This record gives sequence, structure tokens and C-alpha cells, in this order.
Amino acid sequence: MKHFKPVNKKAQAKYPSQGEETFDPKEERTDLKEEKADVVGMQMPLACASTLDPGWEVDPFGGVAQLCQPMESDLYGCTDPCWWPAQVPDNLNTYPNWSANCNAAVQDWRTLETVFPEEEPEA
Amino acid sequence: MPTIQLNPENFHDVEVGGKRYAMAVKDTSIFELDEASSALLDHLKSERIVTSESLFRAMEAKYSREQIQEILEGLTELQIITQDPGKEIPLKKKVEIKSTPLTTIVLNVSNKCNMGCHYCYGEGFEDLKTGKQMEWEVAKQSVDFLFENSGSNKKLTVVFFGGEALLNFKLIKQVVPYAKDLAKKMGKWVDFTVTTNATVLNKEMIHFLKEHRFGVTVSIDGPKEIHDQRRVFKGGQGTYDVIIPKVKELLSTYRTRPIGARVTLTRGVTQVRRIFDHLMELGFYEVGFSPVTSGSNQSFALTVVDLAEIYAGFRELAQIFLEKALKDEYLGFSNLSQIIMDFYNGTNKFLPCGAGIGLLDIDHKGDVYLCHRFPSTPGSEVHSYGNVQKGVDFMGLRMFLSEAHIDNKADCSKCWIRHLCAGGCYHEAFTRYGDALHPNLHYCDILRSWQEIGLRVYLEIMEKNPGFITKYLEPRRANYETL
Repeated sequence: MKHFKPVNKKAQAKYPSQGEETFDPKEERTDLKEEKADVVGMQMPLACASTLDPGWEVDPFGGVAQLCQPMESDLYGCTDPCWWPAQVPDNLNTYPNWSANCNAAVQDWRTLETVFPEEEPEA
Repeated sequence: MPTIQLNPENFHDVEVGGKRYAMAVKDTSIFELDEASSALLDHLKSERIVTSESLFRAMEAKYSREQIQEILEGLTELQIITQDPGKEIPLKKKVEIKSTPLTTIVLNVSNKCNMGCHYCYGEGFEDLKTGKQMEWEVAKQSVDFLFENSGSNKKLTVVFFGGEALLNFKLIKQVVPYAKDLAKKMGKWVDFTVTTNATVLNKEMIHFLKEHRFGVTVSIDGPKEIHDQRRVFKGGQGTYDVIIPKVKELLSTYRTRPIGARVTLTRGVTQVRRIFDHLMELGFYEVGFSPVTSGSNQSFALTVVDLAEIYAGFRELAQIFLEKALKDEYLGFSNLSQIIMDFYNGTNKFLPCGAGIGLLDIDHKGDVYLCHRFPSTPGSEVHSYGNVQKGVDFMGLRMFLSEAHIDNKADCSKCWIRHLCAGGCYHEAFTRYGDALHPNLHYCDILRSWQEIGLRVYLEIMEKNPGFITKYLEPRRANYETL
């Protein structure tokens, strides 16, 4: 079905093989287009190596003041799509919203809280 | 020789902003067509049925055989065409609805109403002296009934309805903590909504609604001279002046959830734009319009002229909605935002609404009905399905729902919105035709035109500002509905 481009969720879900263009309203947001072009490499980090996330490091003086990004960023560095069993909740499968309230690590790092397994409700 | 037949009832195509789109009726999937598929569809539209050879000959000058073949496969999958019709006619399976877990109960907590709106469908609503109110025992058992029959549904809703629901505020105050407790124990979440005429609203109630995050809908018909035409007290005097200070208080103090206004359109009350502007000015987040339910000979019944006026008003608001959406602003016109979401998600209905599947109504005696509109309608005992205290007739309910399936409505079988409307409101049909399963034929033309507008607005938004939908419409929960 190459000649039909899906323009709603149902079409996208039921006929995924169609066409090359996919349906994603967020991606298509016109006012974000320019921004998207600028940072395209960072949109989909695959691992810390590809995002050049230094992660869990200290500066040459043994402190954190001169790191290229604030040390608080390390707190959720490993939650990104990453297979490494880090000591933080993973936001790929289990806690997708763990860092949702943390827009800027330097200010909002307190929102990165401990998590507990959700209890299954009794039937 | 193989033949190809177009199935015009299985798609709807529109052109918006120079692009061609087609919606497949069978599953409400929507596609943009490229030049080749658009040309092929046009050819089929003019011929209706062709041999594949003649089709290839006609198209070959511009498109390769391979391209044509690909398009034909796509159209076949979407059931827009049938290749080799007549070769095999699949028998329709008889539909049986088996499991009906609940998400919502509507409690008619008060059979009384202090108002006497001319158009009220609750002809049986009793007056203040003789009217009955729901007792705690019935309410408790109803809530238990909801939880017991909710299956794996996690989010449940209790709707308080009347008569005028707030006339039994005492009971609401008992039900809410009880339901919340039960939800906690069962690992579920319960949400509350209430529809009110706002006449008895006071500070304590507003505080309570706020505390428990109620979804609130106020029935109000517009500016004073319009509202007071038909929304009156039992004695006949208009209610506008009484409710306005209360509505203002509600809107200014309870701001954590959007509060909607629900307008009933009747004969002579068709000034959609004026009503809308007035209610938005009052501070409602959104306004939903509902044409009155009536037999055709009642004084407030909508005439053909009224319906045309309403439709013109809807079109005007749709245009403003679109202009605002393209500027990334939201206009609270719920009739339109609802159908835009239907197109966005690809909603595909076999039944017109949730009545009987996810939702049931329970009246003051504990009798179970399809929805909140039935218990007070004379003659509607046929649509009562048992009692929460004595046992609920799930078998009867399922039989009704299986009958109500859109495939059983022959009138609808050629209509492109049949999986969006599914024949329309049971109660409307019951009042109009004496049969809840009868399609709402008196609204067909207007509904089709209205869905067409919705589809066009949707496509234009998707083309020019698709983020609008994820930003404004998608986060909203289905539990905030204008009942």
C-alpha cells in the first residue's frame, strides 16, 4: 500500500507497512521544525557513547565544578534508552515517566525520587 | 475476465488544501492519496465496475502496471473495491456481545426537580413534594455493583444525575467517600461527575465538588432572554437570574478542572453563535450543544428550518475553531473537538454509545436502565434490566446490544458515517419512533454534513498544525463528558 499515506492513528496502527512517511503529529509540529533540524543527532540517543554523555565523572581536580555538564545530569544519565543495568529506574520499560518532572537537572533534581515496585491490586 | 467493483459505501473522499484524502469506512483509517491512487479512484468512480483489462488500458499511459496493481491491492485491503465480485459472497457473522464490564454508573440520586423545563425528557420526573430520592442502601449497593462488575477496568466513574442531583447532596456526600474507599481497597481509581441546573448550588457544595475533583456540567441555555424561554421553575418564572451568581461563584472558585456548559437547542432557540459567546464570556471552558429530543408534534420540537439554522451556527463556530487552532489556540466547542478526536484516533463504532456496555443507569429504586435518559420516560420499562438489589438481567442486556449492532440496521448500510454514528441515540429513537433500535433517520443529513465539516477541519489541522491535537485535545480524559 505504497500510495496511501496514513493521516490518523488507526491508519498508522493497522497498516504500518505503508509508504515511507509515518504519522507523528509531534514530529510534524511546524513551530518545532527548525529546532528539530538543529539537534537531530540528539533526538534519539542510543547509548551514552553516542550521545557523548560523560556520566559519573569528576573533573581533573577531583571535583565536579568543571564538568562540561552539571553533575545533576548524571542522576538520570543511565535512564535513557540504555541496556546497562544502572542503579536508576529505567525509562525505557518500567518507569517511563520517572524523569518527567525534571526539565532542568540543576534545578529540578529533587524530583528524581526513589521508586518502589507497584503493587498488583487484589482481584 | 476479472472485474473490479467500486464499493462507494465503504469510503469517503475529500479534497482539502489541494490534497486528496480517503477515509475507509470499515475502520475509520484515513489516508492521503498520491496522484496515481487519486486518478485511479476517479476512474473507478466514473465507471463503478470495470474489467481489470479496461482499467489497465485506461491508466497505462501515465502509470505502470506495477503501480496500478499496488494501488488495487491497497484499495482491496481497505474494502474500497472488490476484485471479482460475486465470486464469493461471505456470509455475515451473527454478532454476539458476551462480556460487558462496566466503567460507569449513573445514579439518579433524585427523582425530584425544582425546575420545569418545557422540553425535559423526564416527563415522569415528579415534583418536589412527591418526588423520590435515592436511599443510602440503594446507592451503596449500586457502587458495589459497579466495582463488582468492572472486570479489569481500572478507572471507574460515578455520575450523579437527577432530576436535579444536588437536591440529594446529602447522599452524594455519603457515596463519594464510600466509593473512594472501595476503589482504594480494590486497587482502582474512581472519578465523579455531576450535571446540575445550578439552582441550589452553594458554597459548601462548590467546596465539596472541588475537594473531590468532580467533573461538573451545568445545564444552561444562553443569555437571559433565551435561557428563560424554556428553563423555568415549576411556577413558570425564569431561572437565569437565580443561577447566574451561583454559576459565577462556581466558575471563579473551582478552577482545577474545566467546567462545561450544556445547551439544549429547541424550536426558536437556534442562535448557536450568540449562546456560545455568552457562555464563554461567563467563563465556561467549553460548551456542548444538544438538539432537543421530542416527538415531532411538540411545541418545542425542532423544525427543518431550525435544524438548518443550527447547522449554519455550527459551521460558523467550526470555522472560528479552525482559525484559532491554526494559531495554536483552543476554542471550547465540544461538539467539534469530540469528532476531531474520533477522526484522529480512528474511532469505529458498532454501537452508538456506551449505554449498556460500559455504562448503566440506576434509578432511585435501584432499577437498572440503559442510560440516565430512560428511567423517567413513560413506557421505558421495556428497557429496564433488573435491579441492583434483586439481580441484574445481563442476558437481556446482551441480547439488546447484539440486536443494536450497526450491521443489523439496514437503513445505515450504505452510509459513510455508519461507524461513527452507529444509528444514533437509543433514547432519541425510543421517543421518536417508539423503538430504541430504530436509526435516528431524522438527523441523517445534518449529521453527515457535520461529520464532513469535522473531517475537513481535522485534515486541515493535521496539515498545518498537527501539534494542536496532541497539545489540546489528546490529554483530555474520556470521563469528562457532557451528559
